[in-house]
Amino acid sequence: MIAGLAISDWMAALEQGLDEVAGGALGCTTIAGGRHETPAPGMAGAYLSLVGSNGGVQLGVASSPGGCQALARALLGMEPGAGALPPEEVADAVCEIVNILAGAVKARVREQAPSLQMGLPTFFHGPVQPTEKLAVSVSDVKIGGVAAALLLLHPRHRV
Amino acid sequence: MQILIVDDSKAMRSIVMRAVRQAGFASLNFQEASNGVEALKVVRESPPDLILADWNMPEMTGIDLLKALRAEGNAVKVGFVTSESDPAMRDLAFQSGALFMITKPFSPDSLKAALEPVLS
Repeated sequence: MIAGLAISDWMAALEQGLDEVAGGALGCTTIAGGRHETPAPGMAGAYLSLVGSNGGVQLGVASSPGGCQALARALLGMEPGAGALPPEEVADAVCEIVNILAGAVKARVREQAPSLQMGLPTFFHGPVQPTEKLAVSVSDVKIGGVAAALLLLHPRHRV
Repeated sequence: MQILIVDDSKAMRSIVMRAVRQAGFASLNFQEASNGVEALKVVRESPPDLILADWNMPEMTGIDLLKALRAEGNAVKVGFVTSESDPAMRDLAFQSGALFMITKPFSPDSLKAALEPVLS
Protein backbone atom coordinates (compact mmCIF):
# COMPACT_ATOMS: atom_id res chain seq x y z
CA MET A 1 0.00 0.00 0.00
CA ILE A 2 1.17 3.51 -0.82
CA ALA A 3 -0.54 6.33 1.07
CA GLY A 4 -3.43 4.02 1.80
CA LEU A 5 -3.94 2.66 -1.72
CA ALA A 6 -2.77 -0.39 -3.62
CA ILE A 7 -0.72 0.29 -6.74
CA SER A 8 -3.57 -1.03 -8.88
CA ASP A 9 -5.90 1.54 -7.30
CA TRP A 10 -3.42 4.33 -8.02
CA MET A 11 -3.12 3.19 -11.63
CA ALA A 12 -6.89 3.00 -12.02
CA ALA A 13 -7.22 6.52 -10.61
CA LEU A 14 -4.54 7.71 -13.04
CA GLU A 15 -6.27 6.13 -16.04
CA GLN A 16 -9.69 7.47 -15.03
CA GLY A 17 -8.23 10.90 -14.30
CA LEU A 18 -6.55 11.00 -17.69
CA ASP A 19 -9.85 10.16 -19.34
CA GLU A 20 -11.42 13.17 -17.63
CA VAL A 21 -8.52 15.47 -18.54
CA ALA A 22 -8.48 14.31 -22.16
CA GLY A 23 -12.19 14.92 -22.57
CA GLY A 24 -12.25 18.22 -20.71
CA ALA A 25 -8.95 19.86 -21.64
CA LEU A 26 -7.59 18.12 -24.75
CA GLY A 27 -10.77 17.48 -26.71
CA CYS A 28 -10.13 13.80 -27.24
CA THR A 29 -10.61 10.37 -25.70
CA THR A 30 -8.12 7.88 -24.33
CA ILE A 31 -7.53 4.20 -24.94
CA ALA A 32 -5.85 2.26 -22.16
CA GLY A 33 -3.14 -0.21 -23.15
CA GLY A 34 -1.29 -2.55 -20.87
CA ARG A 35 0.27 -1.97 -17.48
CA HIS A 36 3.90 -2.91 -16.82
CA GLU A 37 6.98 -1.77 -14.95
CA THR A 38 9.41 -0.91 -17.75
CA PRO A 39 9.47 2.76 -18.76
CA ALA A 40 10.27 3.17 -22.45
CA PRO A 41 13.46 4.93 -23.54
CA GLY A 42 13.40 8.14 -25.54
CA MET A 43 10.51 9.65 -23.65
CA ALA A 44 9.93 13.15 -22.35
CA GLY A 45 7.19 14.33 -20.05
CA ALA A 46 6.34 15.77 -16.68
CA TYR A 47 5.76 14.48 -13.18
CA LEU A 48 4.40 15.86 -9.93
CA SER A 49 4.37 14.66 -6.33
CA LEU A 50 1.34 13.81 -4.23
CA VAL A 51 2.47 13.49 -0.63
CA GLY A 52 0.41 12.83 2.47
CA SER A 53 0.86 11.82 6.09
CA ASN A 54 0.93 8.17 5.07
CA GLY A 55 3.50 8.38 2.27
CA GLY A 56 3.40 9.64 -1.27
CA VAL A 57 3.88 9.02 -4.95
CA GLN A 58 4.93 10.91 -8.03
CA LEU A 59 2.71 10.70 -11.06
CA GLY A 60 3.48 11.69 -14.59
CA VAL A 61 2.74 11.60 -18.29
CA ALA A 62 5.43 10.76 -20.84
CA SER A 63 5.51 10.55 -24.62
CA SER A 64 7.92 11.02 -27.48
CA PRO A 65 9.07 14.59 -28.14
CA GLY A 66 6.61 14.71 -31.03
CA GLY A 67 3.89 13.33 -28.79
CA CYS A 68 4.58 16.03 -26.19
CA GLN A 69 4.29 18.65 -28.94
CA ALA A 70 0.93 17.16 -29.98
CA LEU A 71 -0.38 17.10 -26.40
CA ALA A 72 0.69 20.71 -25.85
CA ARG A 73 -1.03 21.80 -29.05
CA ALA A 74 -4.18 19.97 -28.01
CA LEU A 75 -4.22 21.72 -24.62
CA LEU A 76 -3.82 25.08 -26.31
CA GLY A 77 -6.47 24.29 -28.92
CA MET A 78 -4.11 25.08 -31.78
CA GLU A 79 -5.15 24.72 -35.40
CA PRO A 80 -3.43 21.90 -37.35
CA GLY A 81 -1.57 24.37 -39.61
CA ALA A 82 -0.17 26.48 -36.79
CA GLY A 83 3.59 26.44 -36.37
CA ALA A 84 5.47 24.26 -33.91
CA LEU A 85 5.59 25.35 -30.29
CA PRO A 86 9.05 26.11 -28.87
CA PRO A 87 10.39 23.59 -26.34
CA GLU A 88 9.72 25.78 -23.30
CA GLU A 89 6.07 26.16 -24.25
CA VAL A 90 5.73 22.42 -24.83
CA ALA A 91 7.23 21.81 -21.38
CA ASP A 92 4.92 24.36 -19.78
CA ALA A 93 1.82 22.86 -21.40
CA VAL A 94 2.73 19.24 -20.60
CA CYS A 95 3.41 20.29 -16.99
CA GLU A 96 -0.05 21.85 -16.90
CA ILE A 97 -1.62 18.66 -18.24
CA VAL A 98 0.04 16.74 -15.41
CA ASN A 99 -1.07 19.39 -12.93
CA ILE A 100 -4.70 19.00 -14.02
CA LEU A 101 -4.31 15.21 -14.02
CA ALA A 102 -2.95 15.27 -10.46
CA GLY A 103 -5.99 17.27 -9.34
CA ALA A 104 -8.28 14.69 -10.93
CA VAL A 105 -6.37 11.82 -9.29
CA LYS A 106 -6.38 13.56 -5.91
CA ALA A 107 -10.16 13.94 -6.11
CA ARG A 108 -10.53 10.24 -6.92
CA VAL A 109 -8.44 9.00 -3.97
CA ARG A 110 -9.67 11.58 -1.45
CA GLU A 111 -11.50 9.05 0.74
CA GLN A 112 -8.52 6.72 1.11
CA ALA A 113 -5.84 9.45 1.19
CA PRO A 114 -7.41 12.66 2.52
CA SER A 115 -4.18 14.39 3.51
CA LEU A 116 -2.48 14.45 0.09
CA GLN A 117 -0.80 17.68 -0.96
CA MET A 118 0.16 18.42 -4.56
CA GLY A 119 3.64 19.56 -5.51
CA LEU A 120 4.64 21.52 -8.58
CA PRO A 121 5.21 19.75 -11.92
CA THR A 122 8.68 19.19 -13.39
CA PHE A 123 9.49 18.47 -17.03
CA PHE A 124 11.99 15.74 -17.85
CA HIS A 125 13.79 14.26 -20.84
CA GLY A 126 14.87 10.63 -20.99
CA PRO A 127 13.79 7.44 -19.31
CA VAL A 128 12.59 7.31 -15.72
CA GLN A 129 15.09 5.00 -14.06
CA PRO A 130 13.79 2.60 -11.41
CA THR A 131 16.21 2.10 -8.51
CA GLU A 132 16.57 -0.15 -5.50
CA LYS A 133 14.26 2.17 -3.59
CA LEU A 134 12.07 3.53 -6.37
CA ALA A 135 9.71 1.51 -8.54
CA VAL A 136 7.91 2.77 -11.61
CA SER A 137 4.52 1.50 -12.69
CA VAL A 138 3.54 2.28 -16.26
CA SER A 139 0.23 2.31 -18.07
CA ASP A 140 0.48 2.60 -21.85
CA VAL A 141 -2.25 4.83 -23.23
CA LYS A 142 -3.34 6.54 -26.40
CA ILE A 143 -4.43 10.14 -25.90
CA GLY A 144 -6.31 10.92 -29.08
CA GLY A 145 -3.81 9.55 -31.58
CA VAL A 146 -0.78 10.12 -29.36
CA ALA A 147 1.00 7.15 -27.82
CA ALA A 148 1.88 8.02 -24.23
CA ALA A 149 2.55 6.48 -20.85
CA LEU A 150 1.12 7.20 -17.44
CA LEU A 151 3.84 6.88 -14.80
CA LEU A 152 3.53 6.18 -11.10
CA LEU A 153 6.81 6.46 -9.18
CA HIS A 154 6.56 4.93 -5.72
CA PRO A 155 8.79 3.45 -3.02
CA ARG A 156 9.52 -0.25 -3.27
CA HIS A 157 9.27 -0.73 0.48
CA ARG A 158 5.60 -0.06 0.82
CA VAL A 159 4.05 1.34 3.99
CA MET B 1 -12.64 46.40 -17.12
CA GLN B 2 -9.36 44.71 -16.15
CA ILE B 3 -8.92 41.04 -15.23
CA LEU B 4 -5.67 39.79 -13.73
CA ILE B 5 -4.91 36.15 -14.58
CA VAL B 6 -2.51 34.57 -12.08
CA ASP B 7 -1.11 31.16 -13.00
CA ASP B 8 2.42 29.77 -13.15
CA SER B 9 1.59 28.16 -16.49
CA LYS B 10 1.71 30.45 -19.51
CA ALA B 11 -0.42 27.90 -21.36
CA MET B 12 -3.11 28.05 -18.71
CA ARG B 13 -3.10 31.85 -18.62
CA SER B 14 -3.66 31.78 -22.38
CA ILE B 15 -6.44 29.20 -22.06
CA VAL B 16 -8.22 31.16 -19.33
CA MET B 17 -8.05 34.38 -21.36
CA ARG B 18 -9.45 32.64 -24.42
CA ALA B 19 -12.18 30.97 -22.37
CA VAL B 20 -13.21 34.29 -20.80
CA ARG B 21 -13.54 35.82 -24.26
CA GLN B 22 -15.48 32.78 -25.50
CA ALA B 23 -17.77 33.09 -22.50
CA GLY B 24 -18.97 36.38 -23.92
CA PHE B 25 -16.67 38.87 -22.21
CA ALA B 26 -14.77 39.92 -25.31
CA SER B 27 -14.17 43.53 -24.35
CA LEU B 28 -12.18 42.87 -21.17
CA ASN B 29 -8.53 43.79 -20.78
CA PHE B 30 -6.14 41.27 -19.33
CA GLN B 31 -3.11 41.49 -17.09
CA GLU B 32 -0.94 38.47 -16.26
CA ALA B 33 1.17 37.29 -13.35
CA SER B 34 2.90 33.94 -12.80
CA ASN B 35 2.59 33.78 -9.01
CA GLY B 36 1.18 35.60 -6.00
CA VAL B 37 4.20 37.83 -5.51
CA GLU B 38 4.01 39.11 -9.07
CA ALA B 39 0.26 39.50 -8.74
CA LEU B 40 0.59 41.69 -5.64
CA LYS B 41 2.95 43.95 -7.55
CA VAL B 42 0.51 44.22 -10.47
CA VAL B 43 -2.42 44.92 -8.14
CA ARG B 44 -0.53 47.74 -6.40
CA GLU B 45 0.54 49.33 -9.70
CA SER B 46 -2.62 48.86 -11.73
CA PRO B 47 -5.58 47.60 -9.69
CA PRO B 48 -7.72 45.07 -11.60
CA ASP B 49 -11.48 44.64 -11.26
CA LEU B 50 -11.20 40.88 -10.86
CA ILE B 51 -8.42 38.38 -10.17
CA LEU B 52 -8.62 34.82 -11.53
CA ALA B 53 -5.93 32.91 -9.64
CA ASP B 54 -4.54 29.42 -9.65
CA TRP B 55 -4.06 27.91 -6.18
CA ASN B 56 -0.83 25.91 -6.39
CA MET B 57 2.00 28.21 -7.52
CA PRO B 58 5.64 28.81 -6.57
CA GLU B 59 6.71 31.88 -4.56
CA MET B 60 3.20 32.59 -3.28
CA THR B 61 0.09 30.45 -3.63
CA GLY B 62 -3.29 31.72 -4.68
CA ILE B 63 -4.77 31.51 -1.19
CA ASP B 64 -1.79 33.34 0.28
CA LEU B 65 -2.29 36.02 -2.38
CA LEU B 66 -5.91 36.42 -1.33
CA LYS B 67 -4.96 36.61 2.36
CA ALA B 68 -2.24 39.16 1.61
CA LEU B 69 -4.68 41.34 -0.33
CA ARG B 70 -7.25 41.27 2.45
CA ALA B 71 -4.54 41.98 5.04
CA GLU B 72 -3.71 45.13 3.07
CA GLY B 73 -7.38 46.10 3.12
CA ASN B 74 -7.74 45.39 -0.60
CA ALA B 75 -11.24 44.11 -1.41
CA VAL B 76 -10.64 43.31 -5.10
CA LYS B 77 -12.85 40.47 -6.37
CA VAL B 78 -11.02 37.13 -6.47
CA GLY B 79 -11.98 33.76 -7.93
CA PHE B 80 -9.92 30.59 -8.16
CA VAL B 81 -9.34 28.50 -11.29
CA THR B 82 -7.47 25.49 -10.01
CA SER B 83 -6.81 21.84 -10.68
CA GLU B 84 -7.64 20.79 -7.12
CA SER B 85 -10.57 21.82 -5.02
CA ASP B 86 -11.31 19.55 -2.09
CA PRO B 87 -13.93 20.61 0.47
CA ALA B 88 -11.33 21.98 2.91
CA MET B 89 -9.78 24.14 0.19
CA ARG B 90 -13.18 25.42 -0.87
CA ASP B 91 -14.06 26.30 2.73
CA LEU B 92 -10.76 28.12 3.18
CA ALA B 93 -11.20 29.97 -0.11
CA PHE B 94 -14.69 31.20 0.67
CA GLN B 95 -13.86 32.05 4.29
CA SER B 96 -10.97 34.12 2.97
CA GLY B 97 -13.22 36.04 0.61
CA ALA B 98 -13.11 34.21 -2.72
CA LEU B 99 -16.24 34.57 -4.85
CA PHE B 100 -15.99 31.26 -6.71
CA MET B 101 -13.77 28.26 -7.35
CA ILE B 102 -13.63 26.61 -10.77
CA THR B 103 -11.92 23.27 -11.20
CA LYS B 104 -9.74 22.53 -14.23
CA PRO B 105 -10.58 21.22 -16.73
CA PHE B 106 -13.46 23.66 -16.94
CA SER B 107 -16.06 24.26 -19.63
CA PRO B 108 -16.85 27.69 -21.11
CA ASP B 109 -20.31 27.34 -19.57
CA SER B 110 -18.98 26.84 -16.04
CA LEU B 111 -16.67 29.83 -16.46
CA LYS B 112 -19.54 31.93 -17.80
CA ALA B 113 -21.77 30.91 -14.89
CA ALA B 114 -19.09 31.97 -12.42
CA LEU B 115 -18.20 35.24 -14.14
CA GLU B 116 -21.64 36.59 -15.03
CA PRO B 117 -22.75 37.51 -11.51
CA VAL B 118 -19.33 39.00 -10.78
CA LEU B 119 -18.87 41.07 -13.94
CA SER B 120 -22.44 42.15 -14.63
